[in-house]
Amino acid sequence: MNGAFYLNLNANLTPEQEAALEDERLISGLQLGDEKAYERLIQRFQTPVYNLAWRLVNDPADASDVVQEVFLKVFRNIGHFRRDSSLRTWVYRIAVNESHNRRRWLFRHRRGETGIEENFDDSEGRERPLMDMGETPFDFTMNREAQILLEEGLAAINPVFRAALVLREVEDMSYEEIAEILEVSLGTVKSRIMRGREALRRYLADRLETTPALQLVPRTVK
Amino acid sequence: MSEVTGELNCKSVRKSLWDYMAGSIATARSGTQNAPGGDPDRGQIALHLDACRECQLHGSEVRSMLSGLKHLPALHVSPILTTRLQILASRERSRLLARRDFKAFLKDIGSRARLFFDNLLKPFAVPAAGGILASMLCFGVIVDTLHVVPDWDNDMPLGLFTEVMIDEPSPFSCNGRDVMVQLTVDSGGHVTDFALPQDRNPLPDELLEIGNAVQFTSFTPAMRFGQPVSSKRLLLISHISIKG
Repeated sequence: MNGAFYLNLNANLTPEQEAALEDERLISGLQLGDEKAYERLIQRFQTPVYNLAWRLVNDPADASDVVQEVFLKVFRNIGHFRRDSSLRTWVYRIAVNESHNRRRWLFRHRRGETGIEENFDDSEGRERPLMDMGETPFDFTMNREAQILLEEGLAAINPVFRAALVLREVEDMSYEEIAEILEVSLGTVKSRIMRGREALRRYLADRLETTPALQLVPRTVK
Repeated sequence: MSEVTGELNCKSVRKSLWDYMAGSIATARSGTQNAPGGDPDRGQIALHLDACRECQLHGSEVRSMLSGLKHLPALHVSPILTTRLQILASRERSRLLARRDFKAFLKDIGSRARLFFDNLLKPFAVPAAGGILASMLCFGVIVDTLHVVPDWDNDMPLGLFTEVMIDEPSPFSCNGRDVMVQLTVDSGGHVTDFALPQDRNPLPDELLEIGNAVQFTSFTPAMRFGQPVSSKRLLLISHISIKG
């Protein structure tokens, strides 16, 4: 009977409510020391946190360190999580802060270093996207070089704007969530995203002027 | 192309183009929180784009970038990182449980100690056991060849060898004659035998005198590698007469 009641309750929930319920279960499990909750947390957040960290620090090894720091903080502070925001927002906030800290540390400690792997192709470990032929012409003509160009563009813009832009355009978060993650006002978030977009557009425009073969401007809108 | 089409100018349209292309402007008007407030609505922007060639091109760029950003390849998390996270989770979970009650704390300490000893002993246990067995086997095989019976009697000492020394000569003489005697002195410094190497037959009295002379002489036995051994020595017994 309890199971049926439980199923009925779940059947009436909206996706947002289901997500909140799942968050609540996960948080309770973590606070109680449930082993499966720890596993679920890792499964759910390791890839997005790693991707976010990688795009904010621009180095896979540093991103791995950031991910470990993030999860350590999550595990240690889950007992103090006040539920003011969603679990995802909280984890992302920690990830952004840790990435900023890491980048600042790298800036202080690695300024004088010169890499020996300048020609290292870091795209080997990436998952190749499955192209949807029904999408825009850009999707159709999107190739690896264009992806790398976009990654370079993201890496080139101001880290403050980049964080907001990545959360908005890559992670597909709302302005409100981004404001919570970055702990700034909604207006500041919009301003940062706007400036990040413009910086990225200018970067790509400059690069494409010298490499016209990529054709990031495909056609005129009907 | 004109800068102003209807009520909108190009600047305000381009400002909203990203949200327009992402489809969040229409939802903003219908009540969600995604779109920035104060921006033109979707219909106005669409009208402007129909009329403005430059904004069309700008919109194409924005759409391309937007699509590119949405389709950026996801990065794989390496299995090593996943394993590290699982280890981290396990450790933090144990830490959390250990704080909760004393029994769990003791259990945690016990498991840590067991793990410590396992980690400590396992790398040593197998090689050490193998080494001991191998050394026992080798020793068993070669131990017979290592058995050496020393043959001191036929050995020719080359070093650390001292000959028999006279401690104190006998008070008996040999009636004024010089006699060469071959003595056999045992490891205790006692004369066990003597012979006369000269090619002649001694008289019984002469033998008695020589016997008294060597019998009452005390010797330090010969030493070989620090050990007293039996040996032979030629001894010349001389008679010195003092006249006057």
